[in-house]
Amino acid sequence: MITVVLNGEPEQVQPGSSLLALLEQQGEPYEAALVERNGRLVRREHLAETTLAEGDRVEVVLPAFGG
Amino acid sequence: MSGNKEFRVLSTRPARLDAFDKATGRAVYTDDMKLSGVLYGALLQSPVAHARILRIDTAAARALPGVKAVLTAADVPDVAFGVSPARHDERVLARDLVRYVGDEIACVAAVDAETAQRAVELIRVDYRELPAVLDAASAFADGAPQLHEIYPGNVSAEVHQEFGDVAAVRPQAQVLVKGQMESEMQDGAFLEPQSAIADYDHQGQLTLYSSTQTVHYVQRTVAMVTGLPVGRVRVVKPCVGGGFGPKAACSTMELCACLLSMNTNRPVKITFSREQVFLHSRARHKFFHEMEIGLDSAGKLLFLDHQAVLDGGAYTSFGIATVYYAGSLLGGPYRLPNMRYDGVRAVTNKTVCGAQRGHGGVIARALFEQLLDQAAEELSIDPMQLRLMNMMEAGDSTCNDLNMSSLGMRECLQAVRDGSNWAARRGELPEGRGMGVACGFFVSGAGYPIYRSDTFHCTAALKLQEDGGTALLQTASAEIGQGSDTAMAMIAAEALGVPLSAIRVVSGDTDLGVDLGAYSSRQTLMTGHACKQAAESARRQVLEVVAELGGVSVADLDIVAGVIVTRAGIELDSGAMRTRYIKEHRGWTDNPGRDEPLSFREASRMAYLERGTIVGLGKYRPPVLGGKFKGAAVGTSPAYGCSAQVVELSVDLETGQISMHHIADAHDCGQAVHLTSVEGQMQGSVSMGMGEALFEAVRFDDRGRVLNANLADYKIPTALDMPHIEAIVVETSEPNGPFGAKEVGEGAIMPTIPAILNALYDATGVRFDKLPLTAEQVLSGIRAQRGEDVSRLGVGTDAGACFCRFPGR
Repeated sequence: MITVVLNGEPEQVQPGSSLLALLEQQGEPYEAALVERNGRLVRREHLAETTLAEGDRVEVVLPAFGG
Repeated sequence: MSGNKEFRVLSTRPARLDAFDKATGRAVYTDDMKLSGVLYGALLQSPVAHARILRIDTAAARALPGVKAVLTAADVPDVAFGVSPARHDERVLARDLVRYVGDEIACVAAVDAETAQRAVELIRVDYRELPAVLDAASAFADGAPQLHEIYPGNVSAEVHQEFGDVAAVRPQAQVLVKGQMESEMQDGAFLEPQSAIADYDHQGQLTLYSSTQTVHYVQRTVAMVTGLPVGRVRVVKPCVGGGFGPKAACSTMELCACLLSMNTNRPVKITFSREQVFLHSRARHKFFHEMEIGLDSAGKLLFLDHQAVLDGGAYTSFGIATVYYAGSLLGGPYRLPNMRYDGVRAVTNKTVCGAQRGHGGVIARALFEQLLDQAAEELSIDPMQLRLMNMMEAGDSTCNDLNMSSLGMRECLQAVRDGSNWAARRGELPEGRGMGVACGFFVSGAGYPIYRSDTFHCTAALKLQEDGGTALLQTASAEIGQGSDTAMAMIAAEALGVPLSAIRVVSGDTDLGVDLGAYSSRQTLMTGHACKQAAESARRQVLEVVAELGGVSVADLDIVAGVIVTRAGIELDSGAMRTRYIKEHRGWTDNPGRDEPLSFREASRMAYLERGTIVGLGKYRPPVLGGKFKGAAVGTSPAYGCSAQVVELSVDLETGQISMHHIADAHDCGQAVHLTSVEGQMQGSVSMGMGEALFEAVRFDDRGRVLNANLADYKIPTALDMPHIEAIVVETSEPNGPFGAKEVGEGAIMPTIPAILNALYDATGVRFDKLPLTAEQVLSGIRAQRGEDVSRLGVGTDAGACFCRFPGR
């Protein structure tokens, strides 16, 4: 298992897991959100092909918090 | 327009609860407060835009008689904070780097304000200046200085979205129209500078009085930064003299007041000067927009392709939301099946931008509505007609899944068409005089809290006073001058069935509950729901007691205008209740007459005598919104308010000076609560939009210093500048709103700037793509139109360089 940080909290995932798998496993509303890995936006179409690495920081930002 | 006559309190024009105190000067703002033993705080702010701090020497400041504390980064918690937890990029005091002129470095508490300021001046800081990044194009340039390690390329937020398929539909378009728009950073220009008093007592309780829009978020940030349990932090909002967004985030000034109070065990007050208001800012971003729209030969909108670059200053603040809204708020109010949006926000060494009225959407709307007019011209269709042809209807969803559960947009447009005498006047005006139309919409509350949580967005309690007859409404919502306390009281009165005079309100205090505050035009709908529910609960409890004592069922009873009424054919035996009440009040002069119906005052007293204190509780959390996409909650708000405006103006063709003559302004606020306040929000929105269109720009020198940090050089409209505004309230019934109500605070600003721009085109035949519309710029445009030599017109090189950020487009 490797450890990634999802929304500030550590999560264990299988090595080779995709970002999409992590989001689905955690029930994150990624379709409505901005998904960032290590501070950079990951476009929705690239979530499945983005492989997580040890220590990755993933943020799922629901941008409709302001106004 | 179509007022709902079944209401007794809503849709009326009572005097606001705060009217007399504000008119007579009795209203207490934070800076008016006097706490015993108070110290005065001051901030040392960076004089340079970008520098490494080499050394801070506070010895002379600490030695100054009357100084009680001097704090630098070494003395305060090293905790990152900000608005979104995903962008906590600020520290209370700069540790190693300063990133803009105004970045806070040290704070002082002293026995008086003059001593505190003198101490600040005695602090010596050695800087090693770094190259400053002063515009977005420079921020994105190869080799640009990097402001934050966490933002490679100086990008603090970006959004890429596509709804539908723009590329596929583009070949079908018969009319293609492209344009650009550039604006300047703007200031909130509220009348009351930010002020805070922190009071850390001997029980370890910290109370912060602050001119904030959001007591709840400030409470959480103060707890996070100070390390105090959140239950030990109370934030109280006295009267606030306007916010418009910049007061929605917790500030360093508030945090410094707290830390200084904890350090000295005395209350500490800090009040911004007007210059500091400008330096702190958190107001409107500088925007660059580039758009293309396509329509078919009948004028039907097919797509919008949109890119935006935001210059956000040194930190993120609300910037993620800003860049998102800059795109998503063009999804309506027209039927637009395909929309592509790429937005990026740069960090630069300038004052920090955040949320401001019409958050993110104002400048985007200013360009989009001009493109609609250009398309209409190309198709030889009246621009009013083109808008009506494409207008969404209630129940429609936008391509980005914003559901228009109510939408009086068509009615608004028709109202301003008639109100401006559009059909007879447009095209018939003399040279230099013109009319322009535009529409817009805005959320009635953000769908999510700023931090990820299932929290209720608001709670409310309505406590019936034990003596009967009045009720105390308690919320943590923020009355910031917009009239929310009165609106909440009216909703509670309507739901309880009593006159408005029977309701008292206390609000703006975290001890009273949870309320996310006054931003995103959320309080009427969201806090309104909680207040309505609380009042309904109290009402039900009273009626249960009356039913028990009077031998009828609750379903047979109601409270109307402060009187207990029964269903037809039902007789309530209220004699014993009346006798009991009157016996309790022997000698009182206002006891009810024998033949009068049972009053709410008597009924609520009976309820207390039978059950103890009666408290109704309410809460609100938006439902899961949207859901069109797999596993997703996409819609941003439970409801949307919408507006249309027609502007009539004239231009002096020799000087470029614009004179505003008339604005017909219609807004769909759902069910109006307080009609005068609705109109006031509409007029205020027009005033703000007009200022942003014509005058307002925060100007910087080539070292990142603000050149016009005062209200003499930074012009905002005064009453003398305002044209006649014909405010037309369009009432619909919003199914997701309390009694059908929804927003008016921000949607009403959306059409103002584009309506002015469209009117200016009608007057001059020139399209302008840079704001504000100074006389110089307007004259240049007019002269260029005549073929005369002019130095500059339209979007400058900065914008062109910015759009290189999207090389694939």
